[in-house]
Amino acid sequence: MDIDISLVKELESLGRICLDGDGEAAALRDLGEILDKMTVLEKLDSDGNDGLCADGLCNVLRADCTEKSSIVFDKEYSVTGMFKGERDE
Amino acid sequence: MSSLPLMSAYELSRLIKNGELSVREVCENYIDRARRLDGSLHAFNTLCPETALADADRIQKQISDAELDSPLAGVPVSVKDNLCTSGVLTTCSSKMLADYIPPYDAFAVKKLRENGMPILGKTNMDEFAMGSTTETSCTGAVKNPWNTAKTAGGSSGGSAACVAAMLSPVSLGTDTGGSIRQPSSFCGVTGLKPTYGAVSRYGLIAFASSLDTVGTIGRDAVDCAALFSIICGHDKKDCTSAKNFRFDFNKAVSKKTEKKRIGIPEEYLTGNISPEIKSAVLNAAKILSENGMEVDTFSFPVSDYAVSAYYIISSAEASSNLARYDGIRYGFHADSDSIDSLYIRTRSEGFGAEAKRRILLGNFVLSKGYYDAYYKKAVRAKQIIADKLEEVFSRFDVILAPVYPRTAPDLGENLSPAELYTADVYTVTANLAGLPALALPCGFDGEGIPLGVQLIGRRFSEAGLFNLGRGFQLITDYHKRIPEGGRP
Repeated sequence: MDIDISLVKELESLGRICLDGDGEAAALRDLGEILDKMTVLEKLDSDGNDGLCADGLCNVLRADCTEKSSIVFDKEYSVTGMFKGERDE
Repeated sequence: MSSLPLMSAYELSRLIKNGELSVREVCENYIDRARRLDGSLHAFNTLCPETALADADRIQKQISDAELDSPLAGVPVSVKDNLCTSGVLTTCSSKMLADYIPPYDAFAVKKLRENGMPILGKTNMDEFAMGSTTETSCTGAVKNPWNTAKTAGGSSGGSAACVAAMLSPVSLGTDTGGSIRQPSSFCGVTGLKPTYGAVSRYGLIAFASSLDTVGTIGRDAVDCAALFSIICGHDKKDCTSAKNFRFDFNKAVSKKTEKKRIGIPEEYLTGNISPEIKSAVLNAAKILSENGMEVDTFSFPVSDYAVSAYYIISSAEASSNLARYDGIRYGFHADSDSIDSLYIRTRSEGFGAEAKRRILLGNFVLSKGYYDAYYKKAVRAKQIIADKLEEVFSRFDVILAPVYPRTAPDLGENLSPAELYTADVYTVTANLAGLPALALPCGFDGEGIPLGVQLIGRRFSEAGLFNLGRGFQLITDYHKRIPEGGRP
């Protein structure tokens, strides 16, 4: 995937980190290489025809696909994983 | 007693219980070995000889007064440096937490103390558990006890090296994408990644909260099972902790091996796997087949998604979990003249390159315009993999798989991040599906470096995995060999 230095700078800002020039160049190269390997996910159907709900947020505890997962993903603080229902044991 | 380090943890506990060994004597032996040998390995970040010996004396009295009933009472243990240990530096091998001393114990650490296991020290690891070689550790990499020019693996490299070099009989590690199994394989020891939820994550410094697990490393399946029996169980402080899990320790360590149907994913034996590892895995399958197990292969094409899904989800969660390190409440604090400058300077100076890379990647996959194409698809892929594995387990009881496509790399080999990530192809699947997996030594390469294989089971089937692993180890002796430089 083609990414450019402006995207790297934006990601630095989101992550509250600052890379030097060499660091940004390395990040650009590494992220590009990593994202290239992830193109396999493009094979996955976006329309939900793989049997999953459109939300696609089923979790490892196998919550009912018809109800929204309660995973609250707060980027500023910690991930709080609040799973609905009893665990499947 | 010069043969003491050669004994298993379970054997040591029996000798301590019978009064043939004292807890102090055992601890002194391991502390002495760590002082003599760790200089060349760097398996420990922090050694705690004074507190370990003080605990040893207290535990000895409890054992003598018959107040302790635990399978490993009196046996010392080392703990990976991302598990909060009250009063002891817990650094995650990061400059960000270089001076952090937690005021509380992780649940798993608390269980060690309650079961009379003195804590020898905190083991070295990849920074914040992100990495496969411990080369991201801010204190320096761990060297493989079998060949110190090679990596011990990661991120629980310190824990695996400790057990392999007999600096501690058992160790606690953590596994988010293979971080117990891979170093266990590289170091020729046995390591368990448990079912997600079997062991509380309370006090485990978070990397990827939906994938992190606390597991055990030992010389053999019995030691791993004994330590697992101590740390598993419900904890109300971890909302993802399983409520009704009961671990059958007697079944796990029984010498009677239950018959199992074992499946090997076809895709794992083709592609980029070293011929030595492929041969070792097939040899392990042959040994199991000759000893009463049904072994067959199955097609697992969804394995293509595993690495991508893992690195998207884990990086997304890591970018959130690392957001707490802002120089305000704890950890490293850079000098600055504004709040924004404080955040940026603290995080830029406090984190290493790999942690920053994961933060960038995590923010990318969660950001507008990319969330649907990456994060949402990764979560979907995770569910597809879990569903496919459920189908597989209707036909098989256990999956046999390689742990890593090659043996331990050289230190300083300078593999690119993408190359390192791709090599996790065999381990991340169990993390994505929340399944237990047990890594066992299964051979050696041409240079004498250990090779490993893993057994993956249904959720909460640790007893069955240990039983099969124990059966394998009753027939083979790979787990009994020790590195040349480590002989007592």
